[in-house]
Amino acid sequence: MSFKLITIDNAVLLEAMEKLMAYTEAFAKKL
Amino acid sequence: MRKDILDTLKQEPPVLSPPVPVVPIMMHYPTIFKAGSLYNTLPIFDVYIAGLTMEKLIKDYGGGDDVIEGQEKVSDQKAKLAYDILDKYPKVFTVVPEKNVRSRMNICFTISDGKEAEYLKGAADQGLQGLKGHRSVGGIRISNCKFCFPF
Repeated sequence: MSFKLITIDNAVLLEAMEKLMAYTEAFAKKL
Repeated sequence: MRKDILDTLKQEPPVLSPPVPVVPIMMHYPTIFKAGSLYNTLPIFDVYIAGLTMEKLIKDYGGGDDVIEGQEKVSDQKAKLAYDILDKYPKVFTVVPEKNVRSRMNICFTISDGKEAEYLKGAADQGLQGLKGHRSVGGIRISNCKFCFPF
């Protein structure tokens, strides 16, 4: 798996934050 | 460094009153020159990325005050996304700072019953990296400016 460090593109960063918080919410629901 | 440029610069860093250097000494060309470029080594990669970021901001928002305001809106939007979810599950997540002093840049929280390791593992399984809190504090830290995820 390759990774790209995101510091520039707002659209990509926003997408990453959405993905992270979707995971976070799913984690909370599971507990 | 071109000497004709160097000669046009003040040989001592200009200082404000109260005494604060206008240009950080480590970025003052004559100081760097006198020290044979060894006064301080800049974090070159960081400077490079900062340059790219600033170029992109100017391109996106057209320069002027809109650059700051435009980026501020996006940063607020991302931070709100995170805090809204964390606040929605107060029995699971505890945001470390009080609400009125929360950071937009570093979103720090703990998880009930010490479930941080489980959270981190699940995140890593989805390619979400760089979320472990500071080594002296623990918990989770979401950096609003950078974390890694796979492409």
